[in-house]
Amino acid sequence: MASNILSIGQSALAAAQAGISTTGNNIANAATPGYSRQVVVQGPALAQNFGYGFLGQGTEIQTIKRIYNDFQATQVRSAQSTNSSQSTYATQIQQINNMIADPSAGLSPALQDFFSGVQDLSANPSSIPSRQAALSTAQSLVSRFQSLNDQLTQMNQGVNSQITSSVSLINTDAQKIAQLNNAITLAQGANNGQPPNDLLDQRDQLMADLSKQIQTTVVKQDDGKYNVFIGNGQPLVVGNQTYALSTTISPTDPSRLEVAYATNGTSVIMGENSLSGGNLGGLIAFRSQSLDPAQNALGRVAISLASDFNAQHRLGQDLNGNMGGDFFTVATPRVTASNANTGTGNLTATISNTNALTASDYRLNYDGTNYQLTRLTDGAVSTFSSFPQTVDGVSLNISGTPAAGDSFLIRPTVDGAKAINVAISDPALIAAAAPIRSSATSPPIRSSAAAANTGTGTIGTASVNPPPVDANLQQPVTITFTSPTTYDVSGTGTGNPTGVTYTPGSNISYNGWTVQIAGAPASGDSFAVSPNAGSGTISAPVVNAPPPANVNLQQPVTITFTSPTTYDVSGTGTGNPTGLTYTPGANISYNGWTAQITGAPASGDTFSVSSNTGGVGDSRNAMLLSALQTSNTMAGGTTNYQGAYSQLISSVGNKTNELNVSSTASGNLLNGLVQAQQSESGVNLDEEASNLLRYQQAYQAAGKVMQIASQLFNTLLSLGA
Amino acid sequence: MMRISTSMIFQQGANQISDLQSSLVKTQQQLSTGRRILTPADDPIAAARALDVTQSQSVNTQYATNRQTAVSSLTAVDSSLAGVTSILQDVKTQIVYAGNGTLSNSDRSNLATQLSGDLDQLLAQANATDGIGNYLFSGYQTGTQPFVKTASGAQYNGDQGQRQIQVDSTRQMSVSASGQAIFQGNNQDVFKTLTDLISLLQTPVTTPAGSAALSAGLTSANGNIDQSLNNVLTVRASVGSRLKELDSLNSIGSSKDIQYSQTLSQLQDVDYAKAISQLTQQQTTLQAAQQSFVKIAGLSLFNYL
Repeated sequence: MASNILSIGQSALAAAQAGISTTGNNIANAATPGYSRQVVVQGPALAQNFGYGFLGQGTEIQTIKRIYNDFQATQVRSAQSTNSSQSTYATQIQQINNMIADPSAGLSPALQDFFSGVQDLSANPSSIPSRQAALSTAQSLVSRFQSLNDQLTQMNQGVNSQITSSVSLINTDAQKIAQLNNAITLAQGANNGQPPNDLLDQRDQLMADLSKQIQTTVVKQDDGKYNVFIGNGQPLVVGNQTYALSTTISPTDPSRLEVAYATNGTSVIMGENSLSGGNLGGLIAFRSQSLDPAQNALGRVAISLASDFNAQHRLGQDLNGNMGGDFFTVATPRVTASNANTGTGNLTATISNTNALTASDYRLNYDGTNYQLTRLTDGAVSTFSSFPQTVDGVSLNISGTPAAGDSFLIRPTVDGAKAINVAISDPALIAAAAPIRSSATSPPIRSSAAAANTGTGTIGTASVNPPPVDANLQQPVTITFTSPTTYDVSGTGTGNPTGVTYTPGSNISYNGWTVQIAGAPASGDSFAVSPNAGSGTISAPVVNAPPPANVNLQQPVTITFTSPTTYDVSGTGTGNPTGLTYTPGANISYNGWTAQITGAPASGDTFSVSSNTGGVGDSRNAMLLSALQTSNTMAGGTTNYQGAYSQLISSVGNKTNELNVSSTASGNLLNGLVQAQQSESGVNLDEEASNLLRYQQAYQAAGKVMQIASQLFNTLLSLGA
Repeated sequence: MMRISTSMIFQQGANQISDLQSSLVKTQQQLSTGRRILTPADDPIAAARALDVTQSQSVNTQYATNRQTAVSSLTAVDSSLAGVTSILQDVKTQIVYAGNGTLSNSDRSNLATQLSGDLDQLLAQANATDGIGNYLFSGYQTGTQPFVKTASGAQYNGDQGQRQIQVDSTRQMSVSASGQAIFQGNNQDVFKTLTDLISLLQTPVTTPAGSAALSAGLTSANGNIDQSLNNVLTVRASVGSRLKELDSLNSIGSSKDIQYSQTLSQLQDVDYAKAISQLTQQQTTLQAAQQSFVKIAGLSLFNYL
């Protein structure tokens, strides 16, 4: 009996000891990440029947259990993936956000300075310092473009290296999980299915770590192994085996790394959609949704500005009197053929209309018959079967023969900010002047025949005699025929001769002019020489866009009015038309220029358009150049350069703001879930303190039981003594 | 009743304090920079709008600079034409004086010498340059001397171009006038008139016919000078009205500038009263969080074991 009591006491002592050491272990691991608190599961030992009933045989420890909830863990992992993805994205985009944060360091001030420089030039076109200043502001504008682009490129390199380390973390975690799968099965087998709590905790902690890198799905097997899947169900860990991810250079863009998945000995690039969640998902989303668009948007501003400026500049005249050349060098679209292509097709892309340009990249796929061009930002597809094609301001052409399945990536604007440069270094080469100018000349006098004349006599154009000019030059003079062979002359300064003999075609000179009358005037016919009252004016001619300028642009052209309503045009390239009808204010276009004549020109008035030789003080082209600043020449005529850049700022700002909010929200959700998990599995030191007291007391009580059992023995032994 | 794990108490406390600290730092940054928008993410729409307004303001400032240039060009034109006006008025006085019947041939010859001085002055004004050596009256060809003296007057070598400056978003203003229009316009060549007048006065009058020719020549010269004066005064009036327009554009420009500054300030400047009260509130909250955290963390059953 006493030995029975002793063994009961001993079982209680052992249980209390296990309790104290488990509590101690909990206290020791209170701060260990992933540790789940453990409890001793105790049960009564099998009772013994003594006939009068079952007598308890003490206690026994059934297991040491960790308090852990699979469902909660799944929730935490999922929230962790979402939160990691969003915080990584937020951290990355914060770099762009900070880069453009300072209003004095972004593109705007450089853009404004540049156009101010052009404006200054337009106010002082012949001043070399003004020209030099315009060139310098252009230099700082292009370096601002380049430096912003450099920072974006560095971010891209940063993304590459973070993808590499994320992939290597995923692989390491996957291997450890596979090893733990194996160790856990072995441990369970060797210990009658008792759970190896610390191994399980380790594996769950690795799963939590893995979820920080990428979104995972865990399927628990009957033998306790975890099978882990990522993306669209690609296995990462199956039992003891792992399938490693790797990084590989993108077949269409050597500057970026893609994540590849090894299957059947070949590695396949995983699409961006199948890499969601976790750091890796956040990095990939940042790159495709924010970094590329930012670089493209910046490039688009650079390309539009440079192309528009060049086009106008080529229509101007520089300080040396030559037509302007390119002011900026402009980037060309980047086209890369997939390295999986089997055909010989060579795709070329050029920008033909900057106004239609988008900030998107495009993918061209060939299915053997048709080409499909997908705009990557919104997935819009255009299908065609032949080349050349122009889509969104980009002209595409192909040489060679592509094979079915070949694809090309077209990035029209990606290099825009990188490749923009100032093409001229000599300030005299800025084409500030217009290449042509107009002038009006009105002879002081004109001749006319009276409308009522009945004869066939005609009067020629009155010409002014060589200087000195006669004081009465502009006095009205009338020549009246008194017979077919004689005429009278009347008018101040003529002396009013009468009966002058008419000789057809001979010179008639009075008051410093000379005129001829020919034909057969009838008696009573009259001819007049009078002051020219023409009041026509010609506008400054404008060079027609787009370049190249007409080859005859600078050829002198003369517009001569033959009557107040008709005119002749003469000059190389005009075709010399005659008898054209004059409409005041209507466009008159020849040789690539357009001008307007207004007012009431008189017969004999001439207007001419000629080369602007020596026109160093002219700044008409510089004014047109500076007007580009506020012209809506981008995005289908909806915005200007500054506006397009502001759109970039606003979209980066919005996205950053959105990610800050959503990552805070998912952080709070994660926090709540972790708290819920910890409220079950976490160690509470006060609780452990009370457990410690409890087990201590149980230990003391068990000792007392053994002491009593021992005393019982002594009683029995003393009976015999 | 929820079970709390000890590590959560510490973690939560640390997280909360860190959050409060970062909001406090942000408010402090807003206060120290004076800007409500520290990065575009703080208010994307206002940030983008601020950039657009900055461009409008910068363009507006540029127009003000352009107007200064326009004012100085027009002032140069005006002062040169003022000189021309006074020369022509002087010439008129001398023409009237030359008509005085008591003058001898040598008196008239002296007058002719004076007038050729006037002609040279007039040419000098017509060939006037701005501060940096650009000819005022040669059209686009500011590097070409517009008038070259000839035996019968002067030859114009410029063109009819009018140099323009963008003085407001929709206004391009001519800041020069073609010398031909001023000095040789409307069939009135002032140089020729003066040259003829000089030769007239140099011709000795010995006969009644000569006397009549002198008198007729003087009358004609007087009329021509009147017309030339008219030409000059017309241009001066137009220059004056342009200067006046620039004046009013300047005041519109400055009020626009104030408007832009106000808009920018509303968009991106911090409201100090609001920010300071926010700072105080955040400070109080942070202090409370710190104090309560220390108190809670200090509570442990182990203290009594």
